[in-house]
Amino acid sequence: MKHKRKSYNYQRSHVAYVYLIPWMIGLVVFQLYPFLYSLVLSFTDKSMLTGGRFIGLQNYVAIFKDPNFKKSLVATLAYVAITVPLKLGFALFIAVLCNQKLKGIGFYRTIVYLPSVLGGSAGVAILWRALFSGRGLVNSFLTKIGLKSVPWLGSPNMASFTIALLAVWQFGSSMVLFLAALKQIPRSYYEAAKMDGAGAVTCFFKITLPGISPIIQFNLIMQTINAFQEFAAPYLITGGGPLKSTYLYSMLLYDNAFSFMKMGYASALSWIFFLIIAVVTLIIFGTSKFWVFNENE
Amino acid sequence: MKKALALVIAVLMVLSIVACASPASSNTASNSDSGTPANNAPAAATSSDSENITLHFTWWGGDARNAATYEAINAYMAKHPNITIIGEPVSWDSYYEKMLTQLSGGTAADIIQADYKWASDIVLQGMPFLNMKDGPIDYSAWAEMPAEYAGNKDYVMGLATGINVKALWYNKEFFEKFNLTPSDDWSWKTILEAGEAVNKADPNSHLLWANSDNLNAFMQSYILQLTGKHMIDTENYKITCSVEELTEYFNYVKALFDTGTLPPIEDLVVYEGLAYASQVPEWLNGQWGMCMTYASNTLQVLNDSTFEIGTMLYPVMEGATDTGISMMPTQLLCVNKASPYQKEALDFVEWFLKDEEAITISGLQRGIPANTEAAKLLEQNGVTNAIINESIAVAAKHAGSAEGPFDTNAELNAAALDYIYQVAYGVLTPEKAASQTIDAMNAILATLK
Repeated sequence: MKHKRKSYNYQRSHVAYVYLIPWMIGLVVFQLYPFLYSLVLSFTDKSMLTGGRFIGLQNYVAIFKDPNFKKSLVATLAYVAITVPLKLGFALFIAVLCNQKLKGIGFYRTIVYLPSVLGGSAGVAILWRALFSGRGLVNSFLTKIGLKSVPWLGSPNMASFTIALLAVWQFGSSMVLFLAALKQIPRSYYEAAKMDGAGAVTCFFKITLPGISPIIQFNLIMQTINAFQEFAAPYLITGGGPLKSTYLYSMLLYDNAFSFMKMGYASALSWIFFLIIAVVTLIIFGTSKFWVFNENE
Repeated sequence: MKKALALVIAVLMVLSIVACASPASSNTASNSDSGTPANNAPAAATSSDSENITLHFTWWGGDARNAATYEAINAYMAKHPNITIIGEPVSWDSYYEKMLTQLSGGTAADIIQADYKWASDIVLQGMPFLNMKDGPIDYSAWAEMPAEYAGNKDYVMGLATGINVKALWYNKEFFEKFNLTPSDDWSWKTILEAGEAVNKADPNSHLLWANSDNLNAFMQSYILQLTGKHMIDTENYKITCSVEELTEYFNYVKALFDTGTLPPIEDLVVYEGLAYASQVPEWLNGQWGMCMTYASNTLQVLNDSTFEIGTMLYPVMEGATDTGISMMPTQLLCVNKASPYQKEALDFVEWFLKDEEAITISGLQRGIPANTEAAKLLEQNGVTNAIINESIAVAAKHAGSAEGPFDTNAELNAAALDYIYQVAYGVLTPEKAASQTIDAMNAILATLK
């Protein structure tokens, strides 16, 4: 009997592995192999079609002397600093609104999620360029109401913000997670707080925010990583300009790999980028004990 | 039973993934470099007439060029029933990057349309196209063009489809409105004076539109005309001009913006990546009246613009010893060295560029043919374009030296453009920009050795 059960468990685990094989092949072939291969390439002078000579740390040394490295890093940090708080703040605001007991709330929730369905496509990025160009719809509206038109994409001070708006517009997935978290907070907490004389603002800061802090942490990490990796919007809308104000790190990587054909150099860039993102993520994790409320602790 | 079924499904999933990962193209399996012949010798015929062969042909261009190319492909396939040619028209945007990636991954087409501007990079990248030098297609009837435009004196990466020249184009109504007189004597100074007059008469109007490529091309031409030397010394991999000489160009750029000859930089950068003036609303509505362009863009811009267009000689500095104006290919048709069907691909290229039917179908879609016999045939058939003819005739009269091999290098141009924009935005003075441009370009040139 015991032997039979063992054999059954053994077979069960084997079947599980068979199910896992497609994913594991995908992981090894499409992720792990390119990941490790890029590390090898980063120590070579590999060009798009030639080269591959081992050159030690030369690529890494050259990167720190490259003025575009510093420019793109500054542009990326600025973009992350604008995008992530705006996006999370807006997503939370909409989630709070969608958490109200209103007639037809399901319809509203669907409507506010729509931008996320459309948001990431190249078509929307091009639409964004048309909306915010010098003679675009936004400026036409501003001039119609008697205001001056704004160089949304032409000014180095405005372009990063304009690009960030597109990311903020895609707040849907964060909003859904916030909404789910809001629904998990027991009503009794609010009722007890009200009986003690707490107002809506106090309730929000003392009950709501601590209650959803694990989801804030999750959203913060995911959106920070996404913002660091943003490529399509600056590539399609501004081409990294003006004055490299939207020349995000991913564009520096792309240009070196595909326009300048420096695959070894681009691989080194991608490893430095990987380390930067890893450090930022670890910092968020590290600080979480000070601001993430865990019911089980 | 359920477990057996699950196993079968899992195995099918694995197979489907492996199948998805295998090369899509039937010819990529043998695309490795190891099996390719020497540069000058196309692969021996790998097929008999009865063997079915599939070739891939990729190009960029507008709808009209796409339609003409498909028509030619169909005509060729009707004559060669065993050959299937799959046309792959690709947008100009990122065409180069896609092409290189496909060449690197072994999935590139057999016949590839390429730009002459990539020739120096293609040479540095191991010459992935079949060498057309000394055969395998006889191109003795082709118009004379400097060898640098298709590679170098030993390597011709592809055959020119048409003849191209740089020229100035203007909106005739715009010129009449502002009392400007077109002529082939316009210098850089004339442009500035006319631009200032236009902008004074109407602050919303600007004489010139320029994209990022134009601003770089202006710099190369300006320095060549000023110093009599190409800006880049390709033997020593150094910038030839002094800080003072480059400062003069940057002062000129600053003046273009200060006088309103060019639109404000905030308006201009929004269109910096566009290839044709007719993609710019301000050109179409007559607010911006002149642009620098290539003759190969003629049909596209003429089709889109609602006003008459005239052409003038590319600006030449007074007293210049070298105009820097020369005839160049509109595009090059290349055969992928890794193609298993090189002979068949070459046969098609030869037919496409030499056969009467193909020439008639293609018309002027790739400019006035570089094959002089094809050009004659089109002329006899009345297929001509006055603007293209005039541009080429005027340029030929004022011909100078060809562009240098690194004049169109993407990395060098990106570095120079960065400083041109910094002057335009007033972030750097022309003196500082000139000094930093020379340092940055010298640093890049050192890596290209």
